[in-house]
Amino acid sequence: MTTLRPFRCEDMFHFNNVNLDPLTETYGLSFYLQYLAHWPEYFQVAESPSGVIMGYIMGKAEGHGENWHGHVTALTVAPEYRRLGLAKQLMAILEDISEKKRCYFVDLFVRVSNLVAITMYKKLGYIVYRTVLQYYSGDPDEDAYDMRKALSRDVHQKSVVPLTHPVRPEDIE
Amino acid sequence: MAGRAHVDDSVIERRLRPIYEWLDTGNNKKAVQEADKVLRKQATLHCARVLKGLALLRMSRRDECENIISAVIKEGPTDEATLQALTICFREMHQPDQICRVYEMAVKTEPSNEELLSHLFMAYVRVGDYKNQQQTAMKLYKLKPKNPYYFWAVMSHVMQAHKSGDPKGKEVSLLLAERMVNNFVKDGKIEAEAEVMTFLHILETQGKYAEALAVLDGPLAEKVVHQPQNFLALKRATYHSKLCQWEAAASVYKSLIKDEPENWQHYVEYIRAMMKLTETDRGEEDPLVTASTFLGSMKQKAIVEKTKHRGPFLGLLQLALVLHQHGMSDRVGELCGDLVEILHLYIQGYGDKMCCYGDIINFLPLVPKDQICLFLKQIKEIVQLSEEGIPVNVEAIYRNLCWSHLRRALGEQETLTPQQHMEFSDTLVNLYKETLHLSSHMADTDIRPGDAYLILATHSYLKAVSKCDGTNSDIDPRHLILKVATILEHGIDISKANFQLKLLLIKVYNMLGATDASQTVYEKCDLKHIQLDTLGHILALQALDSANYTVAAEIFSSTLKFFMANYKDTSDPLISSYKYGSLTRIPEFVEFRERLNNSLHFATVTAEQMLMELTLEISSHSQLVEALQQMDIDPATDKTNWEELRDNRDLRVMNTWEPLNKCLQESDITASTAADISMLKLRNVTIRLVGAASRLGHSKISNDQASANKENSECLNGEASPSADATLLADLTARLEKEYEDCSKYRNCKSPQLPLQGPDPSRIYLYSSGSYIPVLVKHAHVLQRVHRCSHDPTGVESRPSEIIKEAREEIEELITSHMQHLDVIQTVTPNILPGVNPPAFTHLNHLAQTLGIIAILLGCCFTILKPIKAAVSKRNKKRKEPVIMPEVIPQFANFIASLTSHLQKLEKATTEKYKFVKSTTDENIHKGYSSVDISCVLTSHAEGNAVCEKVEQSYVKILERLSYSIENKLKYISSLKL
Repeated sequence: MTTLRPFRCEDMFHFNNVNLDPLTETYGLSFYLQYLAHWPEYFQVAESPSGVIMGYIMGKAEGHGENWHGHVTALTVAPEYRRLGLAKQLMAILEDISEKKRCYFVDLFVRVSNLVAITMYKKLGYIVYRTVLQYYSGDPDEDAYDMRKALSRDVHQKSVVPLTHPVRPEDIE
Repeated sequence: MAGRAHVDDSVIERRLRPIYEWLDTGNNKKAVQEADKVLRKQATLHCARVLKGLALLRMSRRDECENIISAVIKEGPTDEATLQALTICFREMHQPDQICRVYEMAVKTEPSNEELLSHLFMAYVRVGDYKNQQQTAMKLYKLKPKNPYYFWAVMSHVMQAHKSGDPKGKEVSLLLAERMVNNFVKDGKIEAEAEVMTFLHILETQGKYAEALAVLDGPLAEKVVHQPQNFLALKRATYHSKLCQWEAAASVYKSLIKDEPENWQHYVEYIRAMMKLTETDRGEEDPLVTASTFLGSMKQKAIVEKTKHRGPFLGLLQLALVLHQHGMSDRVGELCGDLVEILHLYIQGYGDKMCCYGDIINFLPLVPKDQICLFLKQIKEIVQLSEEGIPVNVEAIYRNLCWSHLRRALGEQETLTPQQHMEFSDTLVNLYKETLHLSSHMADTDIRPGDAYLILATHSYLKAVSKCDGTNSDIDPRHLILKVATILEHGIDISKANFQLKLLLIKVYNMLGATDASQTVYEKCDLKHIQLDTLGHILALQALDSANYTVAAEIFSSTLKFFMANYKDTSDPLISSYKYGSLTRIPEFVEFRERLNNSLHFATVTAEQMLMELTLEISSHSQLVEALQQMDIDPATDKTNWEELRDNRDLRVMNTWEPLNKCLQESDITASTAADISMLKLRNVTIRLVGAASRLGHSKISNDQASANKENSECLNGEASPSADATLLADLTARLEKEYEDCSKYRNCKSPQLPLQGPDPSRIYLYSSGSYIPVLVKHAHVLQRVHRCSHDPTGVESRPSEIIKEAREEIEELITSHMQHLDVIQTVTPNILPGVNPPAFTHLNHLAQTLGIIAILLGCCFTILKPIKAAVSKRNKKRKEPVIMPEVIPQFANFIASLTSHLQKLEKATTEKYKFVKSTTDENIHKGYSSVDISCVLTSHAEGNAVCEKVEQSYVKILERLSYSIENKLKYISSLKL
């Protein structure tokens, strides 16, 4: 019951019903546009039959060698469209494109307090790879989980062996 | 190279590094010192000089920066570091065209430097110089035959086509682009996905869909590997549709539906194609039957497999809807079955989801009128209620809400009386309260399932408020509005993430004219960047019109900052698009940038900010002169691109469950935009009028000083014909009159009553109904006459007595009549009728701003007249015998004296009102609130008190600002004593 399609600039004029949610950050224009310029296929939107934006995903591919991976920069769904499996569909697109780009894994950061999201990612096959200390600034700062899922290119699942110690934000490449 | 004589590159780099570091950390002073240190060793080093210039620029020493960099540019730098530093300087000075000039020079010196050429290309991208882009790209390709360079040139042609207004030119540019790609295809040189995408884009833009299909069928399609799964299929289906190959299109969409049963666009397009097929095809099988069978089988499959997919259930409803729209309702029964039954089934399956109502809203008109009652009854039966009629779990809440929404949407509540609306709302608030415990486990960041009860209740409460005037009904809208505010505050406190409640509360506070209270909610919405454009309509101008200048200034400032940065923020991504090959996004980026640049809200806030600056704090003519210097008003031209102005408001964000015909209509939006544009026109001309007036005042000063020095100047400067400035002022005055004429349709009529979810009433209705513009025009005439009189004191035409008299009468009448608005303002919280304070504040704000402009116009008169008076007095002293004073001088002096005394009265009244409100606030909150029972079971008295306090404090602040503003007018005008 959703139209999934590439995000367009004009969507920013009416993504308020998603972005007014306090957990969804509204970034400066250049942030969105740089993603559209650099990784347009990774920026997808879900639209309802009446044209309301239900949610969107933005991501990128980066890293060298066996660290070449897809990254979820933002994934958000408007309150009334939660628990319908929309995030799963959006993640599937991102994973599919990452496969096509021959990535080894997909990763993402999530607040350790965001249990709903963490549970969902776990259901989608993601594991907590490591904890990043004080990754989210605020009062107080909050730690992040760096969650990962291996893709088919990582035959031996080397990318998803969890680290035993937490890392600091400056230590993540 | 002069700039870097004999020193090793690595040494230079090492020396420059600290300057960069200081710049990065924002310590510009240190950066200058460090640059000076380097320059002591190497006085000519280009990069160090430019970096010093950059640091100076950031310290607001722009002139010094310009001197330094223009000296460096003359020496023709070509090294990367210097050119990059220059690029940053020019970007920060908002002169991107200068970056082109710098690189053009560098390229001239080193024509075969690939790096420099590529920077030159990017410099052209920044300013949108497509022609030079294209030529530079070809130079690059000839230098280094890399595919991206070739496609930069191709895309530059495409952009020339996008920009070209002439269809012939457009065609030629696109053909050139196509031919360039075709040559590459023939030679087998196509390498990347981006190149194929560009090719498809060029063909699509030209409408060459058959050729585009051929690309998909050929080997080039294999290069498209990084796109989502359905990308090629969707392209193919689109091309078939464009070519009216409906059978082929339908077949692609059909297989897409099978692959992605949840992707709604496939259903819409499939059904469209099948309908088209009916119109064109006369084959054996009826396409509609085929469609019906297929969609039915999808639904059946979903039922059997118990998938969570919602799409398959609604396919048949979409078919029914399209049949209706095509006047084929008679076939609905046969092809789609019982629609009410499908809807019922759907709600049974998905009514426990928050999205259910949104999913089916389009199909509600399909429910036959005579079945509505039964349908609603069936839906009601699905809801699991306790014996007391309370939903028993979260699912039941959603189902209950869905039922409530449907009742509203299907028109069951259209005839409710205010009393019934209120009772209905009370029931909803009770349901909210009784079900709150079901969401106690939820996180702070989640919205509560029952929140929608409060939203719906607010809609109904506000309906009750709008339908009664408090005189002959059991409902007191004064108490009700406070009750609504308190309930919403309560809801937000529990569901901190629910922005729907916040948007409603802003509306409620605005109705009371309590814009300071609105701002506390506005801040909770945390609007940023583009939201300042799309949602700026919820508070920015309301704050201004309620004379809450502090709040208006804050919002205006962040809004303008966003728009100013737009150009810069969008040019880097444009460059990235070329770099990373997402060439087909470039037209979209350019259009996006233009849409923001042409935002009506941007233009409006720009004008209002200037007018506010001109009319709020200025209390003397010298302050005005200073302010105008900062503002850089161009009275001769209006740079607004009226044809291209865009309404970027997001007017669909607030929930509504009204019947479709009661929702905000496109025509409402268009009308409100047109009204806002009329307002902007008046405001822009007013600003230009101020600019022209001040020029007149000033050119006069210098002329007069010159002539006053001449001992025997009888005539003041011998020039009889009015100067160009005077002509300009006359033109603009006439223009203002004309624009005012054009607003006649808004005058003395009420703005249309738009749905709650729509925009607030356009400001033009109230503004054009007052005599603000005629009074301004009159004073502009006074200035013209005074000016003419100073040139030709004896001319009959220039006698100002009559016009001064008229102006004086009109402005004094305006002031007197506005005193009553001060009396209208209600400040005792439980007794404030919604909708009374906002117009009263707005009238007073318009009065204050009009007085501000009039002060400026009179100030200009004053600067013209003062030297005349001085010259005459001087002569009087010398000749020891009286010379007759031009009659305008005493007339003007009398006018100022009389106006001053009127202003004193106004100032006194405003200040007294302010002081009164301030001193009674505590009492009002304490006594007023507890004396009236506006509480309900949900909220406490303390919460009600908090709301009253916010509202009261708003009035204190507004009246404080208003009296401050009036006080400044009084100071200004009383200083114009000749």
